[in-house]
Amino acid sequence: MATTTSSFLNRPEVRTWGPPIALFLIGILLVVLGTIPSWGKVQDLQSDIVAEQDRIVALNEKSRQLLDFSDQSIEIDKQFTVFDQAISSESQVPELLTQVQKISVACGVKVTTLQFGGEKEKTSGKLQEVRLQYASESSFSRLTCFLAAIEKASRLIEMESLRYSLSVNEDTGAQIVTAQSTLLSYYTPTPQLSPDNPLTFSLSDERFLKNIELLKEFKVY
Amino acid sequence: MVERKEIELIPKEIEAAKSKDTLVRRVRLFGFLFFLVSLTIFGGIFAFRLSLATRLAGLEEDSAREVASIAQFAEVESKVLGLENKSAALTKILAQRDYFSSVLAAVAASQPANLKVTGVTIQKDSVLITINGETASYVTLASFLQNLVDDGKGGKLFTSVLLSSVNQNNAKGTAEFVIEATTKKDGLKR
Repeated sequence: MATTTSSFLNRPEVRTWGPPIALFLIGILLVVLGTIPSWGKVQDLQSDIVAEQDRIVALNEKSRQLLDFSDQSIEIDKQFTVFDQAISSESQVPELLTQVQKISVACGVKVTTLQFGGEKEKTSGKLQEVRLQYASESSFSRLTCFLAAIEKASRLIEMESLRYSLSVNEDTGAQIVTAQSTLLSYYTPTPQLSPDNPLTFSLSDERFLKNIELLKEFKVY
Repeated sequence: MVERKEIELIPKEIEAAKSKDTLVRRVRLFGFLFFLVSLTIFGGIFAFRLSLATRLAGLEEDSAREVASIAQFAEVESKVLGLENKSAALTKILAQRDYFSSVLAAVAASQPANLKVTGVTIQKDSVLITINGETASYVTLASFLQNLVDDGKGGKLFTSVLLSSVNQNNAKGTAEFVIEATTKKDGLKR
């Protein structure tokens, strides 16, 4: 076998044409297996570098914004407390029962049913819903007071449905308004922090300032 | 007449050998040059790729430093995002809110003295409101229906009313009625 290979390599045409053809083939292999894939990698790296540079600029900007917010932390804490009264954080959802109870008591409405539960519930997104089944007994004027108080309460509570009926107590002759309602309130889950999410919030945002003024009109229970 | 003849100074074999030799040299040169150029391009791109990879690694280190710097403000960021979410939600909720108290106010404003409203059913995002009641007089019921769409009374809210049923309760001597009142579009919103 070795003799056959040796005799093949010693053949004059192989000695004449072999080296240039071998160099040419090696050159082709270098281009096909080395240069072309490397060029693809180079392009990927270039786009990665551009993306990384942009990311650094964005991160730098976010870091600067957070530093500014950090300097205003007292104001942020204050406003957060105010907004948290309107749309609570997840941990404060159970307080809703107490607040509805307080509003009812303030208007002299007797609560007969108050429990969490409802038909549909949003379980995704930045805002989540929580429902209360509510039933009460009172007079018409007290029910009106309760509705107005709910609409002016600092904790945002909506009425999804209301049905009331008037009945007369046969013994006393007094009129009793029995109301049944589904109350809807909201809470925000703890935000998921990601360094790549830009901050678009500003304490001087016009809508935010308008909301601060709106919340001043609401009553805290 | 002189006859011209070609004079061959080099034999054909020698000339063929020379031209083959030239061809061989050219092919060798081409092969070598092709290899050299391929090697140079490959080497150049490889070196460029290495330098880009080093640069990217440096940038990634810078990013990591920025991320670490942002992580220090996690508490502030959480409050800022919370505030942003709550403020955006507040605007949305208040814009979509139905104020049921305006229904009770409109019904109360339209209610004649000797007519009793025994029940009201309101549903969020629905323009239809059901009003149950009783009265001893059909004239009073007609007045109530008229008041509900009177601009000075219930007409601020209701656009039309439909008396869907009236039943005579002989035991009480009253007429029990059901009215379906239609509110203006977004009439319950402010």
